[in-house]
Amino acid sequence: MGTTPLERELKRGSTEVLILALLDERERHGYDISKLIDERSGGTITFHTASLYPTLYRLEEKGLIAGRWVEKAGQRRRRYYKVTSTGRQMLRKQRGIWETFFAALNRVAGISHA
Amino acid sequence: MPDWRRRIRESFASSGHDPDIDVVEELNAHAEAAHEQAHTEGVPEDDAIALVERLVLGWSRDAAYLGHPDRRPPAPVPPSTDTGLLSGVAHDLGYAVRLHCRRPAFAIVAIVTLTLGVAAVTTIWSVVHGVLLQPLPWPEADRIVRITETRAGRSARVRGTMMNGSYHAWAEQPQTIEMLGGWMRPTQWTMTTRGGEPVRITVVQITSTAFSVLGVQPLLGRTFREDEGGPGQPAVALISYGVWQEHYGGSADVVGNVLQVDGTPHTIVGVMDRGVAFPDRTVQAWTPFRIPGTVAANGAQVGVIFQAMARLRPGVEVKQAEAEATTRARSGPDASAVALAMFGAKGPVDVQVTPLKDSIVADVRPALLVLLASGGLLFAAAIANLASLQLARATARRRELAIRSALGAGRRRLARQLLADSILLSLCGGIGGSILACTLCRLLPAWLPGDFPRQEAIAVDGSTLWLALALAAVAGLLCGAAPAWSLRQLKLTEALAEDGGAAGSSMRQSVARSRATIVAGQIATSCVMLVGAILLSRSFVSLARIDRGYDAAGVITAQLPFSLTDSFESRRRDVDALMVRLHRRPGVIQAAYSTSLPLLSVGGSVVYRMPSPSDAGVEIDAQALQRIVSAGYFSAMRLRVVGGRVLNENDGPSSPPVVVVNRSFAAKYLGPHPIGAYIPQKSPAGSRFLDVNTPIEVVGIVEDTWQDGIEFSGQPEMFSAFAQIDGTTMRAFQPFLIVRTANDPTSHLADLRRLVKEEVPTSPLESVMTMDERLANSLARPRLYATVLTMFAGFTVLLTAIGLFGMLAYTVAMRTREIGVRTAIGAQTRDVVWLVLRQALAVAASGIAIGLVVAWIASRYLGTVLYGVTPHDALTFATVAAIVLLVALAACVVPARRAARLSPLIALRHT
Repeated sequence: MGTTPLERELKRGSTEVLILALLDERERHGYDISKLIDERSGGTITFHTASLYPTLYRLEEKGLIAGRWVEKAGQRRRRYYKVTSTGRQMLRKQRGIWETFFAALNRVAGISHA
Repeated sequence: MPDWRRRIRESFASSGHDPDIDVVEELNAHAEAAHEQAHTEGVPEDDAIALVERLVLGWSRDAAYLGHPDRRPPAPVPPSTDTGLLSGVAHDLGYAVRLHCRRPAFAIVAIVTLTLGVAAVTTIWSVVHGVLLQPLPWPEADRIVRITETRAGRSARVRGTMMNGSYHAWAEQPQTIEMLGGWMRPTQWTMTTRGGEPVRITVVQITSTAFSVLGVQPLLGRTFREDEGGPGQPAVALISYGVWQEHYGGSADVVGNVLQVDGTPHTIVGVMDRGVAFPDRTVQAWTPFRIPGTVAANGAQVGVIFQAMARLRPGVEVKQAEAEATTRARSGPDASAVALAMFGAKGPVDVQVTPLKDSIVADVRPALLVLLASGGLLFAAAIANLASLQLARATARRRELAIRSALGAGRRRLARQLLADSILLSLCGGIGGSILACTLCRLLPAWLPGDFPRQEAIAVDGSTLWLALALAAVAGLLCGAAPAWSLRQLKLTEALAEDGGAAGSSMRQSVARSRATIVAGQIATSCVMLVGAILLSRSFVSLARIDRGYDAAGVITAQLPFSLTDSFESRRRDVDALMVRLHRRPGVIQAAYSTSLPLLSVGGSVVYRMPSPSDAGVEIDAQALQRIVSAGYFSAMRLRVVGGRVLNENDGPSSPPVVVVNRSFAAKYLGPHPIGAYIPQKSPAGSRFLDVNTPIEVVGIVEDTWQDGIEFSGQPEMFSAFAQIDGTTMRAFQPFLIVRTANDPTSHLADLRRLVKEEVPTSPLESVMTMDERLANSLARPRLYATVLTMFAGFTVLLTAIGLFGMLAYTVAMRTREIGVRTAIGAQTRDVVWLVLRQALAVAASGIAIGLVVAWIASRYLGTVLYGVTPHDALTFATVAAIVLLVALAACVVPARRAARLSPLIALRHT
């Protein structure tokens, strides 16, 4: 694919924050998450669904999110994920890091985030 | 729509992975959603499928990262019939824990019962082990023996002693022993501390050889030299570790210091090590004791009794030593005259040699063994109850057991489960019992009588804990074995059948029979325990209520220890002045003093040669204990006058010598007219009267008094007035004060102490007790034995009642349908009640019969500790039978009522 290690790390770090942020709003299933990332980034962040599930499972293994099977009437059985309290703490911390990172970028290179 | 699950699996398989079912499910949901979305957005079907195919292909590339944590609870693993033993036992124990947690009441009852049973046995075992079995704390202590002598079978008036003649005859080059040592009874002396404060300490006079017999060396300095303690020798003393620490601060240069004891300076020659407490733990110092020869300088016979011990030569038997000692003692100088004073007989001497430990514990051995056996019976009753309850539980669980059996669990597997269940409870009971025993052993010193031997050796040690573990294991195995054995009768079809109970399952009937046998055994055990408890209690009550010849109520007693440097006259002056002031106090009826008290009969033996009452031409040696008393003694102790008068103030130094004798003296030595009889002052050991020429007139007779707590000796006694006694014979006079009060004697204690402090400031009042307290102390051992055995018996009876109740309740439940049928066809309430009672009575009667027979055989072991009641006392046996029968009937009440109230309709529906 030709990506550098830095890009990979950035992408991996940002993916986790994105997922945690989305699940912080309410519990969601995998398809919903991938669709939302696509929609909200306006297609800027092309998110490979291939990497979504490994990320979800990794987050779950770390205890940052918790998944459960939900079967609603007239719907297919789906696995929903929600943020755990540890995950929420991690999200807060990540958000702070990104804030600092963007502020630094802004100061040095005049790059500002939204 | 394509089968995305299959596609996902195939795709993963092509990349060499076998995904978790959960992952496939989740990805499938995603694939279906994406496919649907594509449709919704109007994407043609082929493109939609291609889009999802790409998704699936992408996932399969990352298959290695899709390892999913195990989300599903593991499927229950069916119990295996062939698991490893250890894991199987662990599984069984875990199952038992869960079972008991769900219904904790049974577990609590079982554990508490076992805890009490284990604690009873292990606590008494700690005492038996420490007191009876542990070796004495001296090197090769099994070779140390106690030496006593008897004359014509009679012991000296101080029990367990020997005389100087026999001692010297043996001490010279003995063949069977290495060394002989002697000591006197511990006495209280006043020690003046370095700060000048008077402190009472317990001192023992002991021979220089005694420490060699024990095999102990002092921590500092030396023991005594052979010549020390003799006349003209400087006074020396050995002090205990405690005195060294407390009064000399553990100073290394204490040897050579001067110890002021009773006004006499003693040079400290050594300090004994911490563990050396001989002859008992109260001893704080030792002074040398040189055993006098048999003839005094003036040619008079000298008789001294003291306690003695020896160290046997290796390999020598007790009997050999005994034979040598007796032969030597008989070949020694004739001491018959003094022996009569000491022993009340002058027959040939016999020396007894007993292992020192046996002689120390002889008094408590029978009672301790009886208590240990009772503890064992209590434990047996506890196990029986538990086994009975476990049987009932196994029956209640019969369906569960049958289902497990049907599912493939073998009999052995089920038996192991039942055993594990029982062992778990037993272990908890064992641990609880050990903890309780540790606590009880710590509390024991406060409960045991002060004179209980070897208290310091009582401790919970490895043997106690092993015993607790063994008891727990036995309990676990027996209580588990009973229901496990009953599994033989478990019939699957009956147990699983809906109406299994009605026709009567084999297992339940077998259990009912086993429980009846167990309860009969418990009833028998209860009978044995109750017989023991009632015999001991009656013996104690007899001892407490016996007419002792004096009235102990309302009397304060105390000892006033004077310094040995005070003269007899000055002591009498001080005590007389105290008496005058005491008499003036309101509430004091009488105050008196004497050389002895009942229960504290020390010394004072005299012999007078006088005409025989049956033949005036024959002279006999009349031996008696001479009590020297003030005039008020008789009314203060309320001795009953049989004839004549008591001593009074007119019996002074210038009036003719008179005595009051007791009934035994009069009966033994005086003729039909004892009042006014005369006793010539011919005494081989010398008379104590000031006027030694005038015959002594007997002016009165009083009733015999009991001198010891539990023995009536029938000892002849004579009472003399202080005013007529030669003070030179009274060097060690330490008067006992006796104050009879009109109200509560303890309310006068402060007054008494204050008066003594004012009159005799140098002598602190000692041994202050009411006479009732002295009596209670003298009965402390019989009271303790009776109390412990009664507690054990009470608990056993309670367990039996519970056992019987459980058995009957179980039977009533089992026969509900039968009772219903009987009621339906016209049986009356009394018929139903009789049905229950009949079974209870059958079990009770067989239990009582067996119990009484066993008790009859066992109670003779109590013979040595009983007073006033025979081991085969018919009233006791009848009472026990009545009590057990009443308890059995009481246990019937609830099951019988339940049976009587059964409605036939409900009973017939019962399964």
